[in-house]
Amino acid sequence: VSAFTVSRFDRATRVVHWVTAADAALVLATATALYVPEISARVGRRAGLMEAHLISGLFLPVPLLFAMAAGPAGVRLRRDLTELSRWRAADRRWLRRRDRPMPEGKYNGGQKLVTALFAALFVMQLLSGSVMYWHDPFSAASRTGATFVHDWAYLALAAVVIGHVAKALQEPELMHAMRSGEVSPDWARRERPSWDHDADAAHDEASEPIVDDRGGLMWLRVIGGALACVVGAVWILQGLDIVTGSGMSGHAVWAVFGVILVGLGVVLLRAAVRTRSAR
Amino acid sequence: VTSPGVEPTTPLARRAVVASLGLGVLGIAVGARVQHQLSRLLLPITLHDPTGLTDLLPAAGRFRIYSITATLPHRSTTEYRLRVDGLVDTPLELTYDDLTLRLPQRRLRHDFQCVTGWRVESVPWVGVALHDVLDAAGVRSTATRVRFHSFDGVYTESLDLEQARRDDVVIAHTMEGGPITREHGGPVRLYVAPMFGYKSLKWLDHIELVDHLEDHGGYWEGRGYDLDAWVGRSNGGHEAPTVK
Repeated sequence: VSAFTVSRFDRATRVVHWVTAADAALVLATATALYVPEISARVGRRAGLMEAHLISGLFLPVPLLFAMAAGPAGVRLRRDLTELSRWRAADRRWLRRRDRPMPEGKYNGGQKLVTALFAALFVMQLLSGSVMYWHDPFSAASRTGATFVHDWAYLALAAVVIGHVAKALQEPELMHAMRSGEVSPDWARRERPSWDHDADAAHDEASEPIVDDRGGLMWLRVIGGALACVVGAVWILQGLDIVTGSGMSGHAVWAVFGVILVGLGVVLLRAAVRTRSAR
Repeated sequence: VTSPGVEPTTPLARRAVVASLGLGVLGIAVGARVQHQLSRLLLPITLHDPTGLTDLLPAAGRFRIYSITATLPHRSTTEYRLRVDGLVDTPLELTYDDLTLRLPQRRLRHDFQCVTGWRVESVPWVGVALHDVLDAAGVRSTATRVRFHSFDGVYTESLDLEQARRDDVVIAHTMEGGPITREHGGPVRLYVAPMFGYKSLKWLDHIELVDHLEDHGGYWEGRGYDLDAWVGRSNGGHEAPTVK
């Protein structure tokens, strides 16, 4: 641990955050184009937008799930998620009192609530969106109900995302931390006095050279990474209309998905190489 | 302030997810009824809101604008022509005035129900019954289906002859008391009252009588939707159709 900075987010956490953020932007943009009549009229291309919205929506939890399954690389992220899902007396105080007393640990009540809201609204959209898309088993009334839920939750999600981005812009130090991973010791002392950042960072050292006792993990990464690269490459070619004959052909958005997927594949392959050299 | 020993904590994420699952299921079950009540309450506002912002409320139960091409097609009422050809005795080319002034007018009020779930209740439509136009052209005995083409250049739909001859299938030029706007498929669109919205083709350009289908029978049919789109009896639905 450097004497001048305090590690707040490790690389895995930051990668998951920014990949998810980019994907969420795509989900919200396509949602807005599908929902707001004036924009729908301008953008058109309904079939392609629907497909893009569906796939990007389903992709939202994938980076997080990858990191959760990624063994040592996901240690700190898993630790953060556990911490974020624990609602303590201090968080209740933080929420109730206007002077916002110091949070206990790494996150304050607001950060925990936003995380919980994201999870809850994602589940709601997954549920109602599934009824809307795989509509055959459901009655017309249930579909209308699902659309009703999906629309309100969309407005709520847009509000939470705007709030999240606005708060991040107000806190340059945290914004910086999400890019570089680090905060100043001053900030840590001032804003999170009871955050045990040494224990947090200790996981970095523990997981750095990656000690892998699960022999299958490397192969899982090799196979998963190669698969992601191949599928991503096909999507890029289809998106650019070089490979034709699929519903995806000619929809440029698939090229974007392809790039994301290839990126994920490269990360996995690199992790596999590192696992191997650490042995 | 740290309390000694094990501090009681609430599993926030788990509760949030369980609560949203419950709320989601409840919303799917009763959302249609809630929306029905809310849209009735909001109707006086949404109909007279010059900004159109209230249309954005999910409770308002207003139309979504669907189009599959990159730009909204446009055709003025003066340059509008509706071609009727294929297996007919007399191919027709109808003007906007033919459809609004010369042919018998049919009025109906009926819900517009999208297959994915959104619904606009009790929409008043005015137009010409499709069977009047078919009769004027004279359908040959070899014809089995009616194909519709949109002047967006891509969208197509089709009905069998029995469906096409129903009283509640109209070539519409007026909805909600005014001319059908460009976003809603104007100047002239199809409205197939007893079926899901994708049958009600917008920007109607061309009606063709055929004896077989060369494709799945329509744009969304090619993407997995049912050829017969009865509300409640197709695309997985089993309840009574919403024919009024």
